[in-house]
Amino acid sequence: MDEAEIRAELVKLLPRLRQFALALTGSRADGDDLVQDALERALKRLDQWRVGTRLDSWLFRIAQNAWIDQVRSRRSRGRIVTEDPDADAPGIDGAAAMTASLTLSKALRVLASLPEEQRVVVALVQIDGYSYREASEILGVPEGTVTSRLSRARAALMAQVLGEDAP
Amino acid sequence: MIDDERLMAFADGMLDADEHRRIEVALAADPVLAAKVARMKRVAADLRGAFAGQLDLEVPPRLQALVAPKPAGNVVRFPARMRRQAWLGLAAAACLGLAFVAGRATSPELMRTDPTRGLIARGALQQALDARPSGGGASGGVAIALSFADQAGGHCRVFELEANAGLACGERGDWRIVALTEAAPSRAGEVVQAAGAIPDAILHAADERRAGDPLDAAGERAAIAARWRKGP
Repeated sequence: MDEAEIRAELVKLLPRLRQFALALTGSRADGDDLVQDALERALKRLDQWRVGTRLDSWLFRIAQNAWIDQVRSRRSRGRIVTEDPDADAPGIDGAAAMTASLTLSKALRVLASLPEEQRVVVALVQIDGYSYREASEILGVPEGTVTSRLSRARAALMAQVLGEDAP
Repeated sequence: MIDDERLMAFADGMLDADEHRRIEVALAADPVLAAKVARMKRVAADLRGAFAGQLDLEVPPRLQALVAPKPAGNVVRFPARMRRQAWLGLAAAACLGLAFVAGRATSPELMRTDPTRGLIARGALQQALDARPSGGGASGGVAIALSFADQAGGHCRVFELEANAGLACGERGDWRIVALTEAAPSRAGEVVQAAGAIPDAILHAADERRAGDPLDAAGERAAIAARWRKGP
């Protein structure tokens, strides 16, 4: 695969990458900034991607690293980020999402309440549809770690989404 | 007793067939567990539902443009080391004007002036362009930095000549010098140049002509062996 072909494949991954970034950052604007950051990083090291491995996993790993860096740098600057998707993106709930039992803005609020390490697992597995094993490969952690993070996240999600105290 | 992690893996369909069946059997006998799994599934479905339609949204053009394959002829990314600021004092002048030379005084042993085509390499410069691989250092005052295929189907080579750098492109069996910078003397009169660095002006000129990335060593050897003949 030459560079033009890889780039063409990256273009196809953009909708998924944007959805992933939206789930992580909680807002469309921050999400697209993260997408840009991730793409710039990926383009700088296209030569590190190995043919025969999955380009999407590689890209998502870069995106999650970029996100962690952003979170850390915000913390080190002492900026407390209060995530408020509603304020950031009026009308973020499209017609399709409004008919769902959980609106997008509520989902983003719930995700924002999760610790980062749990949020990223939920975004990979529950929203994008990666298997536990694939998520563990993207994050570079054992599969058991993915399972336990997801399990803790799920308990919190059930409490907030379904209004339950315990799973 | 089945722990929550296994129940969740069951709800997400991540267990192998045997274990999946085993938990199905357990759930059939335990309505409390079955209700728990149903809630797990509902949360997962709700979450996916909340993101429904996201993948169909149009991607902003600025993000598309960032990764879209570049048409040939756009700015090439030559290796970073080539881009280092080279010619102290020359950068500004070089970016503005760029010495597209047409008969300036240059060493007559290395270049001749053709009345219609401008400067043509000769002597040691011609021999180096013909036969020497890139990156081999200077010899006879000439060093070849890189080679690439140009949009006319031929090849061009970036060279350094004493304190000058230039771009030569194959044309009718000759190397025509299409760009040449002249080292600007510093205030003290001496020429300042970082060794092995090519000024931006020459790289700009190369960018405009290149049809691809610089040739690798093998590609260059093949081109030298083929005497830089144009491709099909």
